[in-house]
Amino acid sequence: MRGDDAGMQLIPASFVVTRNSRKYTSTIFWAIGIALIGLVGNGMSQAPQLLLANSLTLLIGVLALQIFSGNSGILSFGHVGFVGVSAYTTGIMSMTPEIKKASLSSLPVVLQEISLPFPVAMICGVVVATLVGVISGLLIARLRDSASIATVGILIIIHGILVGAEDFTRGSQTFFGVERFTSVPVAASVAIIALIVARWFRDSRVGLHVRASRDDVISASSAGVRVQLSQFKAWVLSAAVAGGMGACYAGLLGAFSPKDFYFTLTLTMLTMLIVGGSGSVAGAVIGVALVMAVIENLRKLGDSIGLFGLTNAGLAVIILLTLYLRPKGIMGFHEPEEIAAFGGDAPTLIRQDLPEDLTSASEEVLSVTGLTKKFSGLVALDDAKIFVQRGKISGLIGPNGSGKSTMVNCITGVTKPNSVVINLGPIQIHKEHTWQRARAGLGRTFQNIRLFRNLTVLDNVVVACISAGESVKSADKSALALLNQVGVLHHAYRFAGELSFGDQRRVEIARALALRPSVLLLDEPAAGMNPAESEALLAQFREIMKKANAGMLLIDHDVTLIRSACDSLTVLDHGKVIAQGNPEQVLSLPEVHAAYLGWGDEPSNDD
Amino acid sequence: MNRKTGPLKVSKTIAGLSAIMLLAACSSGASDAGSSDEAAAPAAGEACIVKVGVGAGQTGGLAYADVPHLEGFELWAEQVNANGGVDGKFTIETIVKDSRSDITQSATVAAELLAQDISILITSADADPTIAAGALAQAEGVTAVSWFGSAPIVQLAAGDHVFSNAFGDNTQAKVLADHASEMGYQNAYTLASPDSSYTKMLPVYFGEAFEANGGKVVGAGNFSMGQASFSVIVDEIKALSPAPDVIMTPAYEPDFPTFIKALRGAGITTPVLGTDGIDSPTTLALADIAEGVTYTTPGVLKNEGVMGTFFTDYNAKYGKDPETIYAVTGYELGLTLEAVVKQAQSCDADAVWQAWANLEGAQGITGKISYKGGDGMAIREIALIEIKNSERSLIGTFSPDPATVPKAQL
Repeated sequence: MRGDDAGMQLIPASFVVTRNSRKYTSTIFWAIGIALIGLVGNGMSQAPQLLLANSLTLLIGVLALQIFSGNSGILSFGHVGFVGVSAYTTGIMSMTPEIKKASLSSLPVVLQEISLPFPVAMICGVVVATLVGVISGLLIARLRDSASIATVGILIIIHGILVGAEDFTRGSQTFFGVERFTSVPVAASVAIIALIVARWFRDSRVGLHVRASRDDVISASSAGVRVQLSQFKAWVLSAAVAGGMGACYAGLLGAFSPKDFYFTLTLTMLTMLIVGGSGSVAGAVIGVALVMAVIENLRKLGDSIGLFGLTNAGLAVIILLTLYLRPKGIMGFHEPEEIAAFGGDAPTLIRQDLPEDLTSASEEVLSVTGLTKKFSGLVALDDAKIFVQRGKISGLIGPNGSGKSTMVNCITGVTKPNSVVINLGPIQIHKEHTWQRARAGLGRTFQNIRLFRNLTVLDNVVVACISAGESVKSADKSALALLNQVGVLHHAYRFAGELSFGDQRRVEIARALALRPSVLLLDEPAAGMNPAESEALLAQFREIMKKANAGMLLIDHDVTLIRSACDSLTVLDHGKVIAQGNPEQVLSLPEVHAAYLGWGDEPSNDD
Repeated sequence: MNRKTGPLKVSKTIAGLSAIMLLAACSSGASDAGSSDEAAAPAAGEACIVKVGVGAGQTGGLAYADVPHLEGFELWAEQVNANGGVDGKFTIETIVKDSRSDITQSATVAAELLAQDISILITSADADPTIAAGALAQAEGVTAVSWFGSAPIVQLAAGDHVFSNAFGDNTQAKVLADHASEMGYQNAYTLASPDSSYTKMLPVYFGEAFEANGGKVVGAGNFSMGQASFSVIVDEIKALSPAPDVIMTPAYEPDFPTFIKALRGAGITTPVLGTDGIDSPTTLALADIAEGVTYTTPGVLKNEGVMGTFFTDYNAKYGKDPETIYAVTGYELGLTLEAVVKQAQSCDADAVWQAWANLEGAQGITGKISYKGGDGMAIREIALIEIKNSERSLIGTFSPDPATVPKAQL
């Protein structure tokens, strides 16, 4: 933070490295586990070996799903398509020319003569799956609510291509001749790589941003998260990992056709992810292990007593139980090592010198002019304007429905106005996206608090620090300092959703501050607080503003608060600015009284 | 989540799960351990148990075919064992494992069964799982037979130990083509779908056989399985010049009814040839629209003659009439195995394979069944049925010379 590095020191160094140590602990633990399975499995007889190799192969695919669906919250039905593409590619690249001449006679000559070693062929599979991921990702990232449905389309399209590309795939006929190279150690090795990728992605800059967008797209954008790009990156990475599964699958099956890469496999993998918990790598592992264990045991039981169908009944039961008892899956949104770490002591800071007062001379940091917004016939804002100066609090009041929230949404870019000019300091931002405005220095809080409820308090702020250009490591430090500044440092490792209302509000402010804003836009920050709390909050605002050297736009109903807090005041009524200037003067104007008439001095705050 | 109890709960869960996993792994280990005792195989002619491993889809997408096959087969096994086994000394032991119609699971159950020293492995009525499981059997020198997978590629893809109880799609197409030539048709239109091997390849084989007979394929259309309307295709057929004398399609439900309704609705009365996929009550229920439709099938499911005896026995065991010809072909796989064991006079997997590959003229219910000289597909009689007054009417049964059948295409 500006000026903070010099003045502050964090003591328990362990907390600074915690994210990394958690990451290392987790990957080492799982990697050793899988490696052991690989070693032990290698000595088993054929049937358990096939079972293990199959489970590990599925694990790779479920981890791929975890990377995208788990982190972004968008359920993907399309990943099995990448698995298929990679399986065929691996097959074509690894088969001997003799076999290809017999089974794939129409294959282009170049491909017919290629016969690569398995690892190279597998990499080819991953590369092709990644390319398909890039192409499909361009589409998926543009969609928000319909993205999940679109992934179904992607599966259907890829299936259609596999069926149609007869020269390469033999169409709907069985593709055969791939050597069965996927032994337990091969599947285990790829699974370990997939696991490391998935776990590292979780705590990466992009991973944290994608997870923020999972909880709340709008507040993620307002925290500077480039949602589309982050989701695109997650999609492509997960396509590559799904390609890893395809490469193993080809060598596991030896013979397959497009129907093997369709809805049945998709549903199996999604079941595993949902049962284990999509929000964590551990969930993917547990999901695969549990579902495979249930399938195997019930199948064997069913076979021995002649009661077939027990498996499907059992699967249905665990899905229902999971959805009923643990809707987020067995592991929920958190890794076990995170839960363990977060149960420990909260971090503390020793020395905290106040940074020097940076408040510079009054300068306009935000100017909004000519703001008009029409919702079909209704004019919500009519040529409205508002200005914020550095180091000053600019207030905005108005009765319910006067357009305050619309104005905030237009300024932050959540809503697109019909016309407006917005200057943030010297730069024009009204053509920018929400995330760009956030990164340019427009920090905000929401009227009804919008934190990333399933991220820790710390990560809520880290997300914004990353948007401001910090590395994850330095973001951790900055975020702790900011949490300290707003007085919620002791909650750093709790999940945001668990905090009290007031503390959540403080975290939201810390998150806004993490953007190093030149303007803080606070939408009814005192809503739901009693006068004493509002007063305390106000004092804190002034302090914060001073340190951040920002201007503040404060929207509230509470005339008392506004009167004592603001340096200037704007009154909105029916979308029009009816008064602007010194709060005392403005509030004494008869038209302002008229606007509030019937509402009294304390209007309800359910704007 | 409650922060205090959270970690404990989770670790408990993990512990529980690990235990389950362990159990699963152990039980699979145990079932294999018991089978590795390689007892000295009895010499040829001595009494022994023919262990039949069935790893097919008792549940899932292939159960519609795999389950009735197993019912027919178990009826046969029960009858044989009631007589003291094949030749009074080779008793049948059937071990059934559910592959859940899943390709990887098919391989896993095949491996489990192979670890139990089976004499023969039976697989699903589909090429993919048959190849996956058959390749494992091939490696162990055990015969693998598909309940009724009809794509004639099993041996090419998985090896010479892999067979199918079904006639190949190419043979079926040959019977239709011969019938078309017999009827004096000159020009044919074929309607295929790239969506499955069956719907894709049958018209190809038909065209090849029909042109070898001197006919000509004047048009070939494609449909998507499950497509809502066939009006474009019907218009295409209407516009053909010369107009086709016959239309051949392997479409089945729901495509066949949609197609034939559209075709007849457009006033096109050209005869239609179909394949065994339409041998169902749905086709008969089309009444006038399906009148004259001719198709191939393994046999006519009718409670009379030899099959009448099967009906009686089946009803006695299961308390219902067989609903599909697959129960009959399942029973016939038993009869085939009976002929093989009689020939081999052994339960040894290799002896069974030798006898299977050289089997000639085993008596089934629908006709004689051979494997010798074939490509792994059963060489069996194919019934040609014409729908008359909404009833199946048998035109005749045919067993084309393998040498004249179009070669299986990879």
